[in-house]
Amino acid sequence: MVVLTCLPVPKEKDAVDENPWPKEIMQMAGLKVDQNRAIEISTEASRISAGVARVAYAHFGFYDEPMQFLAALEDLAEEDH
Amino acid sequence: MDDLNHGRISSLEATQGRLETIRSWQPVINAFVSTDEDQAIQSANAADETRFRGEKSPLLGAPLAHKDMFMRKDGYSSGGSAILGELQGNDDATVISRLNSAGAIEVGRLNMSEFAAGPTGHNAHFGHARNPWNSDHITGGSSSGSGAAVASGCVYAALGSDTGGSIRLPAIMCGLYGLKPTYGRVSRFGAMPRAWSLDCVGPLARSAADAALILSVIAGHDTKDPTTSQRRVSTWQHYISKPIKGLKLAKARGLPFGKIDPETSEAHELALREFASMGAEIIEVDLPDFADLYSAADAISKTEAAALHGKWMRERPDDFSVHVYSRTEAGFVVPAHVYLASQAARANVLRDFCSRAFTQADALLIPSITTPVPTIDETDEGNPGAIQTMVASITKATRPFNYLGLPGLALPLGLSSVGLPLSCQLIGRPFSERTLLSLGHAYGEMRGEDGLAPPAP
Repeated sequence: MVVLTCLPVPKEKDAVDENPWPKEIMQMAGLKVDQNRAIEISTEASRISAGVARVAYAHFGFYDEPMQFLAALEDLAEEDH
Repeated sequence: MDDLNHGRISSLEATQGRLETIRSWQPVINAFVSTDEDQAIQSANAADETRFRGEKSPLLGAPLAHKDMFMRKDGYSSGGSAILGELQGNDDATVISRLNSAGAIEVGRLNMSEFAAGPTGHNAHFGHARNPWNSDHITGGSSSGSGAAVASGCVYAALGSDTGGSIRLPAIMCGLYGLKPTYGRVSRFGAMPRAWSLDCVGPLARSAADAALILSVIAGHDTKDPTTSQRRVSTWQHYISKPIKGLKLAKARGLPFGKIDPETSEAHELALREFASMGAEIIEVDLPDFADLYSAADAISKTEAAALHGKWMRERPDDFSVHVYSRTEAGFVVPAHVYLASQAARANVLRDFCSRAFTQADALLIPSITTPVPTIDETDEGNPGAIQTMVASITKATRPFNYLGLPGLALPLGLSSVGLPLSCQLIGRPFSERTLLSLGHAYGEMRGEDGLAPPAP
């Protein structure tokens, strides 16, 4: 049993094939996964992280979410006239 | 609900009629997980007595049913799962108690995607809901039973919830109006969460007026849900009364959601021309990349779902379908800083979006799905790696607006050449439900197709 705390992201198909991990069931955050599924999940998480990096420009500052977001909704609200 | 409100039929007649409709449709569409005919008839009689005494309330005696995901004083709901029904509830969800106070009747509880996690309506535990327009096709999800039950006339309206499109998609695929309110417009207290930063509760109905009526009852501040807005709630008549003439309606420049099925695209263009003929001004706006907004929503949705379901997924994975289990797995490995970056940037991203979309326009009219309504078989994906791709293809035009917290109204546009619903969505700035419902109401009145129903089985 291998305990994964950080799953590497394969950059190309060959890298996946050369992966030294055993094929047996592993643990990921307490979930049981096999190697192929672990790679799929890691790839999906990387896709999400890359998308967030493109859209989320959180400047250095004070955040107490969801309060800032709720305030923005009120600021931008259509007046109900 | 107009006949009931004007006393043209009694609640008993209305309820008996709905129960008869349920008996004929349920074997075809599997919209209900349970019905309670005796309780419904008893409630209908009580409502008629109340009306006879001259007392009034907005939904007095109206036969409704809701997605089976709301807490009740006498227990929890199934959440479409094999697990949630084991939990004990000790209070009614706020939306349920508000509907009860307004006189509504519940005739049963509605099927849904397991744990409100799936845009198709597949359910391994209760059976798939089926589209009343063609039972080979999906209803859309996750409020699958809500879409099927309202479209088939089993109930006048139903509540659903929307974390990535789960009110709008079944409304879109079943030919209904489905309102995802602004985040914070409707209390989620007692509603089963999927991702608490994105979840919204709202109505599916056969007219914009009915959707407005339900919204006017369930909306408003709730001390049990601190995210609810303090803004006042309007009457349903007010929600559909905004004049259309002079409103600016925007279409997106280019193809922000990629290629669109030609018939869907033609219906969208026709709707724009029809709005123009009613006096709306049509303009074009540039919108940001929806794929990145989708990722931001995904970061929040998956991580919050993983936090909610982690214990069950570790201890009893066999009680989850492969659809729901596999869609939640990535939430365990999305880094905490990515989740927090999505949250921290949300207000700024919303401000930027509103600046682009609503500086000149009052609302957007954009596609809601980019393909015809799929069949159940086409979307019955069993490979975990392919499920995410299938889900993304269905929700790419709906999920971004959950991240932005903006209201969206699924607007039915009639039927396709093969008899399946066509639809688009109206999106507005925060708390613009009145604009969206007024546009929907005017459009429905102009086309005269509200209440269009599939042929009886």
